[in-house]
Amino acid sequence: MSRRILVIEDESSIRENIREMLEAEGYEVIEAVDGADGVRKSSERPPDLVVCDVNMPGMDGFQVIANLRGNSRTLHVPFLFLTARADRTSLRRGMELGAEDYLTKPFSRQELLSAVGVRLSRSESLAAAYRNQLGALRNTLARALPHELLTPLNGILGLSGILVDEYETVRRAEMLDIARGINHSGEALHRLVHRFLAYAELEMAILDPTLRNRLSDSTCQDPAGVCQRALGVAVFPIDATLGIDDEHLELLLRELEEIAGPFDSCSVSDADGEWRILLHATPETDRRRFPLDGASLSSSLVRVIATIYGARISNLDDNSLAVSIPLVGRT
Amino acid sequence: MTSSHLPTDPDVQTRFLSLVSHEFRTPLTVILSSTELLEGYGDSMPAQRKQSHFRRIHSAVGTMTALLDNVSLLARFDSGEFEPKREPLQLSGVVSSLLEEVEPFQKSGQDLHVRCPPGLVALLDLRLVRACLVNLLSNALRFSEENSTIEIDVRPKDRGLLLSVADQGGAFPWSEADRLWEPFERGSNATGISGSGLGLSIVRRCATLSEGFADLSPRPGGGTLARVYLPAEITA
Repeated sequence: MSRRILVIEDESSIRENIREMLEAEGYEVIEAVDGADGVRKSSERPPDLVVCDVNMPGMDGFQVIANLRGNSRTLHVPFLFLTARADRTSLRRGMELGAEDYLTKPFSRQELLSAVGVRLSRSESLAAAYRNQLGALRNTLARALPHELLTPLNGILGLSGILVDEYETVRRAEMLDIARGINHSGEALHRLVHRFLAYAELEMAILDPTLRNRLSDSTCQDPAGVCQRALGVAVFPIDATLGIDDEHLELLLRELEEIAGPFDSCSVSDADGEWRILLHATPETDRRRFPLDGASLSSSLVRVIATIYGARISNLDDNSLAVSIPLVGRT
Repeated sequence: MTSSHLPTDPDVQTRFLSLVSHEFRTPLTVILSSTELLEGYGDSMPAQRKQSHFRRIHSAVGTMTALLDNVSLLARFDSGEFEPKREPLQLSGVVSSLLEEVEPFQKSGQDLHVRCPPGLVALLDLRLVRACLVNLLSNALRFSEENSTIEIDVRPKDRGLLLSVADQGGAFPWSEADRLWEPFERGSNATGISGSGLGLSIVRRCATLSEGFADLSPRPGGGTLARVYLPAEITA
């Protein structure tokens, strides 16, 4: 399907020449003779890209982009300014308003085509990435959420049902048991909701470069302490700085335990230019290898955390897992 | 009426330079893009399309030349070096050579009707006559539609020369008329029509310099009549 480009330019010779250049490359071109015409045409049917003159009588290019960015349907349409003003201030103003690029008149055919090509392919790959990521998110939520939510909810409903039906005959000791059960399920539900929120946030961070950079810049100064807290086992202290946020390391370890069952021992060491956290389960327990590619919330959380921090999780043998995290340095 | 036309205030100077640069970049864009289209697709381009690119290039060069002429004339006015000469001008010859000069602005089907007594000679400065006629004619051509007629009338009047250019153009913004005689002012009807906003201010400057006058009036039935009166000795 050919891409639709809206050309907003009041000077007819320039507009028609741009049209001819773009059409020769197989683009579909819509012309607008001034700013108001351009805003009308782009809101009627949002184009794939807008090429717009800055200096136009009536509504100028700045007003056009402000208008497009204020409309949810045209908010993300790539915008390319044509300007006959060489001054930086007006260009910066255009960029602040959300223009992706600008061409200074006179521009060559090659400059026009490459600017258009770059903007279109960038917006397409961004859209595709969003679609994929959104698909993955929707999938995980759809598959895992109902099942995982039902377990604690059933607990709460079942136990509270007993109280409702038999409150007259329930003994005090039983009452305490039921209340504890409800409390336990409530906590599980609470944790679950938090894990889902964390998952949704991490999934979105993969797409948002600013957020992703901020996360991948964070460090964990006391990995042994974090491991101890997460797994409830003693870990030999080590002076090490790991390239992962404390909270996310803790979450990662808890989720690994969720998948693999409790670990009995844990150690942190450096090997081959990365930090390695070794996790062992009791050899007597008969286990298969830890399934790391499941569709559960835990597997999804492990996957997104590993993606963001460049961590690798590998099965060493039937009872051991290794988490490798890029080296930041010894403290 | 401002006493000086080329700006001296630094802010205004910057504005002037950016306007001139803007006015040059637009025709340059047309020249570059039309040339590249002819270069890249000329072989397979229908003759008519090719012709229209050549016309665009031609007209862009005309726009740039006219702007350069206007700016350098203003510079000469302002430097005080401009001394109106009195040279015998054979008007019908002058007018027909100016028609060639404004050809780049001519749209298809636009007709130029000239009325000028053969053998009319006036003692005047060619630069002033030329500036008045070129600016009024290029306005008339640019602001009127295809297939319209523009009438040029040159005649002796009250010990001087009266130049009139009448078009069938769209509605002139009469409420803005006073402002439009000032340099860099463009009318609200100028949407999509290139121009620097210097033309009318130059016409008026030429007229006052020779102690004449310039005015604009609506024509019955639509269009604009522009007149310039230049006192001069008429020798025929």
